[in-house]
Amino acid sequence: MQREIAAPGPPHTARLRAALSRHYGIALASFKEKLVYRFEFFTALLASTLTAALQFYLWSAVEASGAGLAMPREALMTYVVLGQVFSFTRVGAVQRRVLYRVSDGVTSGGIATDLVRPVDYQALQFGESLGLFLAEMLLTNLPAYGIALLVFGIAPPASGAAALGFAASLCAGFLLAFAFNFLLVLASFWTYSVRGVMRAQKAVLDLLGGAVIPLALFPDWLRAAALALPFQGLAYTPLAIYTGTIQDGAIGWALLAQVGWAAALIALTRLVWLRAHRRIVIQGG
Amino acid sequence: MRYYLGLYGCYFRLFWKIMLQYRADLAVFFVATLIVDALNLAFIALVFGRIERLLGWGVYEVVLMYGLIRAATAVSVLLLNAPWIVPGLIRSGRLDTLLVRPASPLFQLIGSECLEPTTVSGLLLGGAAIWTALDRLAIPPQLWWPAYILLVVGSGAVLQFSLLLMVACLGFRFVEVRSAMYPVGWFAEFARFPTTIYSLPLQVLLTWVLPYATASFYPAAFLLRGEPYRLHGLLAPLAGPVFLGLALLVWRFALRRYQSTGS
Repeated sequence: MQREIAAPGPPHTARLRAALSRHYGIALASFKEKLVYRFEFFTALLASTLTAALQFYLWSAVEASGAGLAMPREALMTYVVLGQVFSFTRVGAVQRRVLYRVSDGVTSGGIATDLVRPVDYQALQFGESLGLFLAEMLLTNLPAYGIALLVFGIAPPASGAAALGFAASLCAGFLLAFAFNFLLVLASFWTYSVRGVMRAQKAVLDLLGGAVIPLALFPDWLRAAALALPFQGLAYTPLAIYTGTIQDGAIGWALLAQVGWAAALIALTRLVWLRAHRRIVIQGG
Repeated sequence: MRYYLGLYGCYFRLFWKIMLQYRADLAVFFVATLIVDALNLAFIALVFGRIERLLGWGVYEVVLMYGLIRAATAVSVLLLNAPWIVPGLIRSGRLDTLLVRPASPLFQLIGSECLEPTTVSGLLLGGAAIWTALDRLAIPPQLWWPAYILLVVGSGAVLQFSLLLMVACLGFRFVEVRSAMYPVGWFAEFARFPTTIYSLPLQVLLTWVLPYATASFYPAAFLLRGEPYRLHGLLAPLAGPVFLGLALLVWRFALRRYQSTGS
């Protein structure tokens, strides 16, 4: 303290310098935290570009090998590439972050801190997920979409209505994805770890979401099953609206189905949550 | 050597105790892994249900490539899962604990993550795919094939471990590198299909930079097509050891310059 006052220059400069050095540490820490996210957005962009490339070349090769596929080439390529760019069936870097935080919280007991906060736990999760969804859209998905348009030459939305419907369908897809993720969180209260259920979710979503293999190429019985289940809302519905497979009046119905499933599933998570949080075992401590 | 074997035994017993603690999760994980693998095979079946050959490669040739890379990644996850925990240890400062113990830090890492039992299914599936492919292709197998295939799978497993370890070492410099490890890990998926279907930059990447093709495409092509792939096929099993050497250099260098986070 003495030294700071005795430092050359007017006293307020010294105080400022002290305050600066004090806050420098905090600023650096929060900057690093931001940087952490930025790095994740970048790797997520890299990852979705690479998976898009894998899908692109694979289906190009299939197409060039003379397959009588049920979809025209451009629609097929647009569908599979877009499925890697915008899709809730691939666990995004950011989404993984939320899940890992909960899972670490469950296995280490740190979740207790979140539970005693004067904010509803589910609302807390929803807020965080929403923020990350918007950030991921802006920093990962849109740049990846630009790359897909320029490098892989995918088609623009089938029409103006398709573009609007696609955007709306992505938002509805987010609600669905939140419901499924929260179900994962709830399942981990019983299995005490989120790893297994996460893998199981991936297995189900990869198949029934319709992003890895277009639903149009499924055997009839499997396609009927996939269309009757809510998982298609995470990938197939927005992609089909974008490519014009679902059009005009059908867009409204598809959106309604997505929102209806989302509402029902969120209500379900709410019910289960009210029961589950009483039985959570705080491990460690 | 005996000391290390005994130590590994201890780690093994500890690991089973942890696994049995999370029995329900383990069961779910096991079944889910089976489903994911079945889905990947179904994908190949679906594609080849519609075409005869994929740019000249037949269905069982692709199944052989799939089997080789699946077995290699399964062995890697089963026994050499250690790189994944490195970034977390650096950040929390727990790496220091390993450094003050008498055994080699890398050995302790491998030991403490010693088994990932759920990928046994992947290994079995990979083996079955290799077996079925060779059986159906009606090429008389040579006596040296089993040894060569074991070498290739081992090299592939070591290759994935080495690549992941090198990325994990970036954790000494940056805060969060796990998200960079995921793309490097699943880039192996590219090796499930003939490298020739990709564009030139991807082919170079897959052969020289993240050379997963050395664990699937080149060995398979060498076994099935012979002459044109002889050189690639014979060099392929060296990729693992070469990248392991590189990874160990990076690891030693990173550890020498390591300063604890102090927390």
